[in-house]
Amino acid sequence: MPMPLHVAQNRHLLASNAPAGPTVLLSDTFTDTNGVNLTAHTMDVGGGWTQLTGTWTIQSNRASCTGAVDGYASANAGKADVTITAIINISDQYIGLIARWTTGSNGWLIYDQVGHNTLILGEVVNNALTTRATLSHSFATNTDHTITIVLSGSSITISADGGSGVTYNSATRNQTVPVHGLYSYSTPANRIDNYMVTG
Amino acid sequence: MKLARVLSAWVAASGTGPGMGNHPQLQDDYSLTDGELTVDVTAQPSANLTPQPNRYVLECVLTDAHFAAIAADNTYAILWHETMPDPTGQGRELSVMAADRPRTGAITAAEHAAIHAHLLAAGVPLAVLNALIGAAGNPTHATRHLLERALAAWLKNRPHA
Repeated sequence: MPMPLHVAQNRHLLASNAPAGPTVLLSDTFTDTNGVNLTAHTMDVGGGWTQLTGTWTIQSNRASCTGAVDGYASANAGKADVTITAIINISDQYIGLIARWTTGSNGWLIYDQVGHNTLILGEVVNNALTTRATLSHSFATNTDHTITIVLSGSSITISADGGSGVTYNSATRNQTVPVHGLYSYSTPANRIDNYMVTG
Repeated sequence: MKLARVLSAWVAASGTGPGMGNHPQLQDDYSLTDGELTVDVTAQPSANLTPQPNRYVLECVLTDAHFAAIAADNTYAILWHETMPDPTGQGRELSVMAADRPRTGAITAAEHAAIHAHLLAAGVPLAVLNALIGAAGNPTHATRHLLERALAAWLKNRPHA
């Protein structure tokens, strides 16, 4: 039976008025052959990874870093105001994400240290860190934990495993830089997975 | 849980890990647990750290036990505190209990004298301090929050030590 015209029109209106969801700007499940360098790996969404420090490879379909003290890899999302989520799995030392990052190690570092059970938001200037916010959370080793970073203007909110977050409201450094990415102190057993940037 | 604004010092150390870089002394002195947090509400420029005097305002969500310990610790000065009824910190609903010192309340002479003494010991010159918040026990700001805002604004622009 043909659909009455007013029903069809209403459906069209509903569809056209539906709010647009966030756009996936970067996404990577790191599905690839073991040992493939991140720079040779094709992201699910995005133009590809830049290896800044350390050697970043795929290991068991996750990102892993070796070879330097602090390893960074970045990708250009095209936007600075974004929501970043990823799974981190810490075995030793440090692991986390970077946001609004520029060369020379400048921007925002969000990380956990093994055994400290704290997600830290740090402002990094020429590789020198200032802790701006801390969020205590149980980060069991060798266990997946989801961290979320919401960047909106001069506010950055960090949270873990869907819990309440903490917001730093004076994040003016690199406020318009659209480059975000991965961080790991070079312990190959630390892994990052399901990296996604939306905005 | 308590929501509090606290005067803390910075600790400077090289490196990127917890306990390194510029970080709150409170992070070294207390092992905070699930749901507790700290956030810098002064936002002094990184280039000025460690500042003179070495103090800034830190917002904290703390367990009652940690709050009590920090409140009794002369290393820190509590500017105001309110109670968060949800023990997990979820929702952040605030209420004011009898023992609280809410931000909107008038600061007592005793509280003011304690904060004054803390800042004097931290190296704020007496004349500067008196001009900023009033002589000890004689607050010039109507509420704790106004006092905190004046302090944070002044501390924000302190030069590197």
